[in-house]
Amino acid sequence: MNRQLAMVLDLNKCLGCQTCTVACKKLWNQDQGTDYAYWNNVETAPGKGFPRLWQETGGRNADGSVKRGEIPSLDADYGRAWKFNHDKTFFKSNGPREWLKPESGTQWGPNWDEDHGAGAYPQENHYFYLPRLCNHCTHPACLDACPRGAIEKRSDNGIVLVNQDQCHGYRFCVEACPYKKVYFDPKRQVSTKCIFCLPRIEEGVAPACARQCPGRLRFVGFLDDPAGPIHKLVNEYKVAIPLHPEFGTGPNVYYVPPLSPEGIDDEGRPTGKPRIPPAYLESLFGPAVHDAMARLAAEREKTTRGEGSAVMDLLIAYDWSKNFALDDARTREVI
Amino acid sequence: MKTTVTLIAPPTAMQPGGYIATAYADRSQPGTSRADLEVQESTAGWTVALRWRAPQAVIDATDNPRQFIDGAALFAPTVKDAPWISMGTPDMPLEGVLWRADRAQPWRVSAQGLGSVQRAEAPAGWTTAARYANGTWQLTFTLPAFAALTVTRQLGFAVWQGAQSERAGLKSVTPGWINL
Amino acid sequence: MKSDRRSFLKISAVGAVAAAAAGLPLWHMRRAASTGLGDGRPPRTVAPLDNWQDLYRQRWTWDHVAKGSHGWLNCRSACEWDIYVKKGVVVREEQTAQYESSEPGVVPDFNPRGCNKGACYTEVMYGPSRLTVPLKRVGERGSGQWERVSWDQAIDEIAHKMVDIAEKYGTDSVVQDLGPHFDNGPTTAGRIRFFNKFGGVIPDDWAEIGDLNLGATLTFGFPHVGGSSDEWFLSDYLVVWMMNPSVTQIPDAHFLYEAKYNGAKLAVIDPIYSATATHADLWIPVAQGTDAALALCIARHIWESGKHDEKYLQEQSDLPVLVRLDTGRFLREDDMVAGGRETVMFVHDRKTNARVPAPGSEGLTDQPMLHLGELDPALEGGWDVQLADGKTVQVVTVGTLLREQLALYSVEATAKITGLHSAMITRLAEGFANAERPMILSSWGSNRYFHSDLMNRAKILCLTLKGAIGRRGAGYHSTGWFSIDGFDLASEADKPGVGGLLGLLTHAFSPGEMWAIATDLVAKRKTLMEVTREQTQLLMDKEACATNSASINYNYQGIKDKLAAYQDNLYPQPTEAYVNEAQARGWMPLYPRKQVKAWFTGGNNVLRRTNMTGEFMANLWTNLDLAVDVNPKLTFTGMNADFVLPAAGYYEKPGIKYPVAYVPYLHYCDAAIRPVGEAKNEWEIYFLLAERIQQIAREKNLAPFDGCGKREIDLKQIAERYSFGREFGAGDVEKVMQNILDLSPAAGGASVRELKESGITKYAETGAIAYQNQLYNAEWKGEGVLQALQHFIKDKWRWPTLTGRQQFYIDHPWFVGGGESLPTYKTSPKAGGDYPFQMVSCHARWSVHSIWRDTPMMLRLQRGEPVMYLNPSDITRLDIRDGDYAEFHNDHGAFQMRVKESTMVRPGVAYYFHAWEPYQFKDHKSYKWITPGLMKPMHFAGGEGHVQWRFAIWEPGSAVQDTRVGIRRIADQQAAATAGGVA
Repeated sequence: MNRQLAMVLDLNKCLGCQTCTVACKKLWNQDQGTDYAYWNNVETAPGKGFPRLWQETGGRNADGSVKRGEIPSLDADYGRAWKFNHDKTFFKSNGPREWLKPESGTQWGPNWDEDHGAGAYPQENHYFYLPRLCNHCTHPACLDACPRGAIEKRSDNGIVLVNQDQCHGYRFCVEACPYKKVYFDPKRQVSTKCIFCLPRIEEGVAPACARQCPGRLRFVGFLDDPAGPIHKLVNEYKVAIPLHPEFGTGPNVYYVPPLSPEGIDDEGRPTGKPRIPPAYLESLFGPAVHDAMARLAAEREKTTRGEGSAVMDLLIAYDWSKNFALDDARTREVI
Repeated sequence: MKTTVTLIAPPTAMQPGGYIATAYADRSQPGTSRADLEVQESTAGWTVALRWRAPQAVIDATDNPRQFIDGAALFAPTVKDAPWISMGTPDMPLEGVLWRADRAQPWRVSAQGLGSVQRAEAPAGWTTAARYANGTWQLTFTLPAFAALTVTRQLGFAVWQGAQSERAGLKSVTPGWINL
Repeated sequence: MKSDRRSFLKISAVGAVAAAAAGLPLWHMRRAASTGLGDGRPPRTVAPLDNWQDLYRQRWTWDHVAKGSHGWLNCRSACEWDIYVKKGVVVREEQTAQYESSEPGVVPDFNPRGCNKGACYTEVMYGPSRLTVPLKRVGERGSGQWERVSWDQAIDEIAHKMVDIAEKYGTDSVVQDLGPHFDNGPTTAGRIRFFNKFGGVIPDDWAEIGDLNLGATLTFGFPHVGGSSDEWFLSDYLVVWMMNPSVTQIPDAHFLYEAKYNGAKLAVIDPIYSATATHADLWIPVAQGTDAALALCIARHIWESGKHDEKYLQEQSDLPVLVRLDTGRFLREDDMVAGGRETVMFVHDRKTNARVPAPGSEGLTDQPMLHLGELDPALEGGWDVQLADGKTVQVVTVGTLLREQLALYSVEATAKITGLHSAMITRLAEGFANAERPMILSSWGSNRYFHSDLMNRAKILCLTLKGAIGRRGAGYHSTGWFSIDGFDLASEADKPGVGGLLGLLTHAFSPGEMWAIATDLVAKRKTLMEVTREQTQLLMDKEACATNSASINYNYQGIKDKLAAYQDNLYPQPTEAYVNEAQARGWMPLYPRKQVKAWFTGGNNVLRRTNMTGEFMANLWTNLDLAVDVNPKLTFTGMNADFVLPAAGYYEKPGIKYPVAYVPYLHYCDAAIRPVGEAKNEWEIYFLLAERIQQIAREKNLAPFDGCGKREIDLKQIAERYSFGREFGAGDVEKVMQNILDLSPAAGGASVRELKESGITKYAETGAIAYQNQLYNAEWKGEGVLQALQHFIKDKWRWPTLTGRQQFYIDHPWFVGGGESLPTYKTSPKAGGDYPFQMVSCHARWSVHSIWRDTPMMLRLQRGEPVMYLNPSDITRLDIRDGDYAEFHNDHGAFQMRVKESTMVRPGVAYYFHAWEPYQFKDHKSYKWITPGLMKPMHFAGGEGHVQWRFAIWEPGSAVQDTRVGIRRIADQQAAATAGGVA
């Protein structure tokens, strides 16, 4: 039976702390060839993101049709894993004493845009944090791009994997993914990507990015599990929607879109309208974002009035362990 | 034998999957338009020399995910006149050798159709000698035992210029088998 | 032997491994260390390499899991982690996430806690600045020339030097900069204990680093207010005011955003559109430093709209207390009656139309409670009063004075001050006034303006008017504390166990005093809280060479003239006159008495931290005969020390994370592996030092010293005293730990053995034997959301203030003369000179102080170098590009820093996240070199009620947020990027 694991990320709870990024990095990507890679990253939106301009350089047009994508540059688009000059900073050497800095210079990095945002202060300046990982798409662009069939979508959980034996490092997948979530490992000359923490999933443990998130904004489970949080948030309450649905790959990572403080008019009065322009949100999440935002607002109104809201209760996550509904009963504890 | 071969770009429309055929639909010219081939057979086996212009060699696999490495491969059909441009079939596999500029040792390769190339450790004695000078690669394969070639005496080859992002089916190949 | 980096390499080549402090040869990683210290989980292994997926499966395996935390870190959170060990190396950490909800279904649980730093302490532990061997300086201080020495040699040389210094200058010339990085376990206890027994000085730097909420102290009598963070969830109107929890309180921030889902409104008041502000309903972009005006305007609105809680104010606040208009002093009993008590104040009872002693007054020792009974004190009004000397004076209530004060803060006037539109102010004021459970979160970072005390007094006033202080789901959160009493005892007592407590008290107090304490308690003449407060104060006065860092700096750093330039015009007297008066009257202790000759660090990075670092180094530091850093990593301070001793890292020694009230669990830190390299835990290091000093003292037959003039210090006994009379040995750190647990009621009888398994245990109560209870809720026994302050609100204990009430009027003559008797708005002085940018800082997302500042994994998630955030409009105007180096300058010089563009920053503000190491700047000079760090003279005040020096409660500090700078473009970026200058 084809089943799909999915993740919901509630952007209204994201702190931008990147514990997810670090958790993922520590577990999977500290080798020489993937030291620049972040299967999970958090970027500040609006912004150019990571890799730089990923939204424009993937292999899909806004109507879902294929276009030639680009492979990001290590220095200009990803940012290499900078090495530092600790020794020359700490210890006497022949030359003048250096200060600690990347030895190779810097052009871009996984969080280069941090807190940059857009808009004039204080009227309309805005930003929010957008955590990103592989969407484990229903129609993966990477799978579609691989001439070798080295990318598989597992039938038991929908996780998309690059077979490390089959991959010959051609990087069509890197080009094609409209989310730029496949990373080439030049050391091993193979492509790698988020494995949704497969070894943990096999044990019923949520992915590190989700389980280690102190903002408690991630939910993990099967899309078709009516008792689980994913089905409720995505299909029943319809407050979680995918990023760039127009690319047509059927992402299985969903976002609860971000509310924002009121804007301020030129005289300094609160405008009653959110700072983040709805049109910008639509450019990210598609037209469905408006309904999702309206539902969130309506549910919040209910709790403000002292009425109950199953939607709010679920997003509050009173019992955090229920954010994760995997096959295995052992979701609570890492073993 | 010694000859100069005009190379072609295999049609991208044939490439497996939905992406390459569309994304590279505009690609009709090979990165390398021709190459010199010299084949010698002796009791010691086969020696195949290739020579092609490559204005910019890409030799090492440093830390650049955008960098594709120069390469070349020889193939022979295990069954005479097996399809070449589509890399054989399950019934008529190809066998050959793959050199990549960053590696000391070549791979033995086999193919049963597009996208099916399998790499394996080369048999003992298979070696390559590559030299890049004056914008030209000179590559010599020494192949003591190349069974398919010995049987069918048909040879095809491909070269990839990394500087032109050639890899996989984006390559410059002989238009068909060269009969020795 | 002269040695530099090059010769290090040579030495290592021939095998005499001089492991340079950085770029360590990772031999400790190759040596398979024993992992038998903790019990942990069973190993997890997978079949090796059956297919490519096993490559991934293999990564998620381990030999051993220990429970641990980042115990020695000055981080206001506490989070329990599973520490994964493979082949003797800690490979990663992941939160245990086994907390429970305080009230299931009512508030969310605490899981999983943790943050990006905690998730990669392993990167620091094995990072490029990790210390693994003792090093001794062989060149000039700071020259980067070191040689590796043995522990024996290091201890021997340091011990001799300390004895020499003690003989020449007294033991109180040795300073242990306590520092904010410490745990509540045996190793920190050892550190403090050693200096107590040595007679060294332990200054408190809480206020000096800008973390002490002196506004809260003036109002409540203590600075640390608040219970568990899940209480935030219960509010209906949350105001985050000078705090950025998304960045600085990561494990707890979720409660705020979940409260929004629960129906609360979230207002964030911040000049910066912070990561927290992005989640607000209402972001109020107040002009920096004008928060007091905004608060007073809200207070005015609450009162004028009748939304104040009159009964609460009558009982809990000083609003009904009478003030003499002729002197600005409270009307006191000795004004009225000859021989009357000076500390009995009055209220006017409306029912009897009579003046009656104000319940709560400090002098009402026989009735220490706040119950009003039949009293109906007037909040407002004025009366003529005939004094004992026959003179008639006018008195009014504090409420009346306050009403007049608040009249200045109309919405229109406040709009002018704060730069906010009146509609914005009104929206905030109405939201706050109409709320049932308004709550203000105010972080340690809210104390970094010169006038922060005024701001916080004004903020608290808004809550008090609403009767919100102490109400469930409402009030003020500035971080409360549990008490790990056993830690205090282990730091001080001569004997382990309960005998140690008695010994401590009997040592400090005469039998008569002990008897008085006991009778006070039994007769309920005093509350336990009052007794413990007095005990603490007496202990400090009698025993400890305790002072504060600001006092040391003011006297020894050579900055008096520089501070005078910015702050002498702000008060009737120059700063130096205030400080001299405070020291002459004994209000503010100053140690060392003569000179600072030896400096030990370990819990901090003083040369990274101290404002006007250049003066500190030129005057205080160069005068030192000995500078020692005991630290797991090399810091800028270590770089400038004489010895750096490698301390065990956070996963290498047992400890207890310091007990913030946010999360009501004790966090145990197990030793997951043995110390890396030759590192040792501090209990052992100071044990060895005590042993050697004792030997030397006995060889020399040294006469006892006078400590800091309070008690005899016999170095011939120091090891005996350090070891609790040989009760504990150098390796007995877990035994000491058990002793600490046994003597800490809050630990609920937990054992080391159990904690190795569980990592956490719910606090059984809030604790407090010898020291002041920080949470004021004795009824909390581990169940339910922890509400602080219930002793006052529910039990009606008097507050530890002069009036025994939440006090908004300070009648100390300095405050009256200085125009700060009431909360008021004062402009931020232009520290550093009149320059167009105000340089404002926040705690960092990417480091806890400087600990992760040089860690490559973290730097890669920033820009690799320190950055100053500027608004795009300023960047354009200055003709600077994002990422360029720019020069920041003021009266004290200049430093260079990269610029980062951000729309979150207010134009005119230069914003940075703090704690970059000076070695991350060109010439190794950071912004601290030109940050004056103003010291408010009012904070040296003492002698009256709660306005008196108490460790970590009331003391002078330094303020960084008032600093002004100019910014210049650097045309030649290549030259800017080139090192030079520092030899």
